[in-house]
Amino acid sequence: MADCVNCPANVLSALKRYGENMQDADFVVALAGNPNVGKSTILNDLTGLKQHTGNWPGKTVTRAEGAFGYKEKKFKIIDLPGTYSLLSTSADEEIARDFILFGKPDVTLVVVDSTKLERNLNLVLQILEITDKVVVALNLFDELRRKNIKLDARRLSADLGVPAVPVVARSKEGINELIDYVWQVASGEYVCKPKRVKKFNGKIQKAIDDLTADVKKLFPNLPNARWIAMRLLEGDMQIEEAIKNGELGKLFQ
Amino acid sequence: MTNAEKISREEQIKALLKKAENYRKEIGDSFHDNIVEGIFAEAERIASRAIQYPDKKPSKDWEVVLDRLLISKYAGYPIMFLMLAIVLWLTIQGANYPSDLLYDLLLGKIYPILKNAFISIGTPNWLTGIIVDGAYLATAWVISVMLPPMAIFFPLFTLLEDFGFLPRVAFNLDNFFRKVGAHGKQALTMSMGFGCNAAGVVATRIIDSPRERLIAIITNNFALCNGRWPTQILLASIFIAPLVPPVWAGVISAASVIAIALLGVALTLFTSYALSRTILKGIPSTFSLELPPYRPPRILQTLYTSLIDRTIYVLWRAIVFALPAGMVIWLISNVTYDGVPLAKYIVDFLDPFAIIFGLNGIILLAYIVAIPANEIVIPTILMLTVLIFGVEGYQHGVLFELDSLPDTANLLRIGGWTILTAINVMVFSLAHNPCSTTIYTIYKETGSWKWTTVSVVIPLTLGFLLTFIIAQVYFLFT
Amino acid sequence: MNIFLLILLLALLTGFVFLFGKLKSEREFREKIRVEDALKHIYTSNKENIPATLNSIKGHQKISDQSALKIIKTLIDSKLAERKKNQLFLTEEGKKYALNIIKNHRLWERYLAEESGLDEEHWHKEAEKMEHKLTEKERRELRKKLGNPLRDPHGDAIPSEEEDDFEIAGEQLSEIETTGKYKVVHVEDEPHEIYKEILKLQIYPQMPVEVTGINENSVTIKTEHGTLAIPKSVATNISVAKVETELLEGLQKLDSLKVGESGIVVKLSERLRGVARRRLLDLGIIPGSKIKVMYENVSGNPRAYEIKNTLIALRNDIAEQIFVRKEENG
Repeated sequence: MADCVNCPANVLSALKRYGENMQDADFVVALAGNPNVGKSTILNDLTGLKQHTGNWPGKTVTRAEGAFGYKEKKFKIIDLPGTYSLLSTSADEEIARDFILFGKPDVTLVVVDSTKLERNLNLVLQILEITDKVVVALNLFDELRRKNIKLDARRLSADLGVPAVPVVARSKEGINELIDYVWQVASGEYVCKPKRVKKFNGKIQKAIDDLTADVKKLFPNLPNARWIAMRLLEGDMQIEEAIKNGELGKLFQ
Repeated sequence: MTNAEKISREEQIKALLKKAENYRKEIGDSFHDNIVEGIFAEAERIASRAIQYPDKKPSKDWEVVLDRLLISKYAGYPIMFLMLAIVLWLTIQGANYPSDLLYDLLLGKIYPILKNAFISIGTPNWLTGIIVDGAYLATAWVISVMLPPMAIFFPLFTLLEDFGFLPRVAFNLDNFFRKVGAHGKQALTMSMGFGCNAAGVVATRIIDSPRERLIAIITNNFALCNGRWPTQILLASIFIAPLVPPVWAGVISAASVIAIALLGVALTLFTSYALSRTILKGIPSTFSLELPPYRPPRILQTLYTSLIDRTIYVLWRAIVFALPAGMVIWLISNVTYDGVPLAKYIVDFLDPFAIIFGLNGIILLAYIVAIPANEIVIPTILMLTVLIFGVEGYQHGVLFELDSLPDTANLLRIGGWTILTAINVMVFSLAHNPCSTTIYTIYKETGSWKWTTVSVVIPLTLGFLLTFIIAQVYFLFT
Repeated sequence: MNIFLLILLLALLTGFVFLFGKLKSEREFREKIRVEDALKHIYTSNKENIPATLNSIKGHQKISDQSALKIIKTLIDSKLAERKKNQLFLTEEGKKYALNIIKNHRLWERYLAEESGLDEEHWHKEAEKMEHKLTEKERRELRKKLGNPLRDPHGDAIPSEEEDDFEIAGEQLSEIETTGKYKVVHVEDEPHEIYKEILKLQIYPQMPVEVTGINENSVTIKTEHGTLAIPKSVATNISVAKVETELLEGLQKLDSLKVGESGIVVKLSERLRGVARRRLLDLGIIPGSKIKVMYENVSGNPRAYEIKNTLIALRNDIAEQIFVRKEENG
C-alpha cells in the first residue's frame, strides 16, 4: 500500500476506510444499485460462491468484494451500499458517491430492478453524471415476462448511451453477456456516450451551464465538470475543499 | 507552474467558488428539488420509450391478494404471531437434538480425553483446572448450547425476510412503535432479538435514522433471546407448574414464560417511550418503509449466508468472551483462602444486598461471571450451589447441568430457592445487562462508550427495580 | 456486613467528589453562557443603534448589578468590548466572537429541523444551549454535513465562515400596503408566546400566501390551509416578500385520500425538510407523480401507497404534508 502513492485509493482520505489494494487487479468494477434489487446475487453470479464475502462491521455499511477473471484480465468488484440516490447526505450515499467519483472505478455496474424502471433510472442518470463508464444490468427480467411487459433493452441502451443488459440473476440468465459488456467498457472497446439531463428549470440550467464552463476551464481533464458544478450549487463543501486544495486537479491529470 | 500562474489560478478558483455562492443565494433552497424533478422527468421519458405495457391489465395479482391477507384487520396479527411462535418453537425444540449431540461430543467425549491427556503429561493441577475445567468447559458449553438454535433461527428469519414477510410485519406493528416515538422496523430488530440480541443489534442497521436506531439498539436486550428461553422454561416448570393441578402444569408454565416475553415487549415500548421523551427527544422524521414484492426465497443461498454472516459471527464473539470467563469461573471456585473458596467470600458479601431483591448472592455472582452468555448462568448457579452448600455427589468446581428436573429442583431448594427467587430470577433474566457479546456489538455499532453504558445501565436498573418491588410485595404478604 | 457498609460509604464519597467536580465545571459553563449572551446582546444593540449599557445587560439577562459588572469587566479585560460614554461597543474581535455564536445558533436550528425530528417549538431553546457548546471545528463539521445551508428554519441567513451577517430581504406582514401574492421569508421565534401562535397557524418560511385584506387590526391571508385573519401583533413577527408564483388552490392533503383513491402530487410542503424531504423525493414523490392509496394499517396509520410501481408505507404526519390533486375514477 505504501508504494502506491498515486493509486486512486490513496488520493482522498474518504476512501481510506476501504483500505483497498487495487493494484493486483486489471480493472476495478463498482457495483451500485437501489436497495433490494439483487445486487448481492449478481455479485455471487459474477464471482461464484467461492469469493470472500461477509458482513463487514462498518458504520452503517455492509460491504462485500470479490474478483473474477475474463479474457485474461482480472476484475476486482466492489459492492457499494444500496442507495436510491447519490444526491443526499446519508452515510451510505456518501460512500457510494465518493467511490464512484474519487475511486475512479474502470466500470460502474448499476443493477436495476426492471419492474421499477423509472425509479431505478433516477439513480442510473445520476451515476451517468459522474462517470461515463457504466453498464446497466436489467435484473428481474423474468418478472417482466411474467407480467407480459415488454422492455426494449436496445432502445434503452441507445437512450442512455451505455450498454443495458437483461439479466435474471437468480438463474444466471444473461450473466455471460453482462460480463462481456463489462469487459468491453473497461477495455475501451465499447465507447459510452452517456445521457446527461439537460432540462432543468431555466434559472438553474443557466447556473449549471455557467459554472460548468468555468470548471472545465480550470480542470480541462475532468470528465464530469457538470457534476462538480452541480455539487457546488448543492453546497457540497467536500467538493469545494477538493477544488481549493488541488486534490480534484490531481485526481484527473 | 510559475508563481504568477499559481496566483492567478488561485484567484480563478476563488472567483469560481464565489460565483457558485452567489448562484446559491439567488436560487435558494429549491435547487435540490429542481434537480431531482429534472432527473425524474428524464427517467420517466426514457422509461416510457423503452417499456410497453400489455393491452389489458392482468386480473388480480396474487401479490395483491397476499398483501390484503397479511395486512388485513383480522388475519394480519394472528398470522404474524403464529409465524413468530412457529419460528421460536422450531428453534427451541429443533435445537435439542443437535445440542445433545454436540454436548455429548464436546463434553461427554472430548472433555475427559483432554483432561486425561493433560494429567498424563504431568501438567500441574491448577493449570489443568484453568484450561480444561475452566476455559475449555465454558467454551464447549457455549458452543453446544448456542450453535444449534442459532443455526436454526437465523436461516428461518432470513427466509421470512427474503420472502418479503418481515416488512409487512413492520407495517402492521408500526402503530405501536410510532406511539412511543420509535420506528416500525424496530419490530423486526426486536423479533431478531428473540433469537439473539447481538444479531438484533446488528440488524438495527436497517433503521436509517440515527435516533430511532439508537432506541432500537438500547432496547433490544428486552427481547428475550435464545439463551434465556431455556432458563425461563426450566424455572417455570420447576417452581410455577406445581402451583396448579398437574393437568394445568404445562399450560401455566408456558403461559408464565410467554408472560415474561410479553413483559419484555412492554419494557421495550416503555423504555423507547421514556428515551424519546428524555435523552433522545424527538419524533421520527424519516419514516418511510418500502414493502418489496414477494419473492420466493432461495433456501441454499440463505443457509449459506446466514451461517457465514450471522451464526459464525455471533458464535465467534461468544467464544472469545467465554474463554476468559471460564477461567474466572474456575478460579473463584477453586482458589481458596483459609480453606474457603473465593466464591464463598463474594457470595457472602453479595448476600445481604441480594436479599433485598428477592435473589441471593449465588445468583448475582453467577450473573457477573457468566456475562459471556446467558446460556451458562444456570450451570454456574448449580456449580456454585454445590460448592457453597457442600452438596455431596457432584464434582466440585466445574460447570454442570442435570438431566432430571426433580434433581435440579432439589439442588436449587438446597440453595434456599423459593417461589419468589424463581420469579425474580425469571424477571432478572429478562431485565439485566446484555451479555458481553451484545455489549461489544453495541459498542461496535454505536462507536460510543456513552450509549454502550446506557444500554447496560437501563435494563440493569429496571431489573433491580422490578425485582425489588416484587420482593417487597411478597414480603408484605408472607 | 461491616465491609458491605464501608464499601457503600466509599461509593457515596466518590459520588460526592464527582458531583462536586461536575458542579464546578457547570458553574464555569454558566459563567461562559452569561458572557456570551451579553456579547450577543451588545452585538444586536450596536447593529440596531440601541445603546447597550450596564442596565440593558441587567434587564436582558435578569441579573444583579454585581453580576452584570463582572460580565462587563470580563468583556473589557479580554478586549471583546470597549466602553465609550457609558455605552458598550464590540471590538472587531468581539464582533467576530458574537457572530460565531449566532452562526452556531442558526446552524444548530437548521440541524434540528433537518435531521432530529424534534418539535419546532423546541428548536430555539435547544439552540440557545448548543450555541455555547459548539467549537469552531464542530461548527465547520456541522456546516459541511448540512451542505453549507443559506438559511435557518426561521428564514434567518446563516453567514458562511468568512462572511459577515446579512439580512434576508422582506417586509413585515403588518406593514405591507398592497394585497397580492407573497412568500413568507422569515418567522421571528422570540417572544415565544407569539411564535407559538404562528406555529399554531401553521405558517412557516418559504410558504406561499395571498394577502386578500388589510385593516387596522389584522391582515387576512389565504394559505394552503385556508383563509386566516392574522392579528397585527402576530403579523409584525412574520416577514414576507412579493412573488409572481401562483398560490395553488383546490389541493388535498395525501392523508385525506381514501384507500383505493389516487391523486397527482402537486407539491411537498416546505415544512418537510432535510432528510425526510430528500427521502420522499428519491422515492419519486415529486410534483407530477401519480400516487395511489393501497392499504392501511389496522389503526389507519401508517398507510401504504403505490408510487412508480413500488409500495411505500408512509405515516400520516408525513402524508399530510404532501399536497395532491385528487384523480376522479382513479
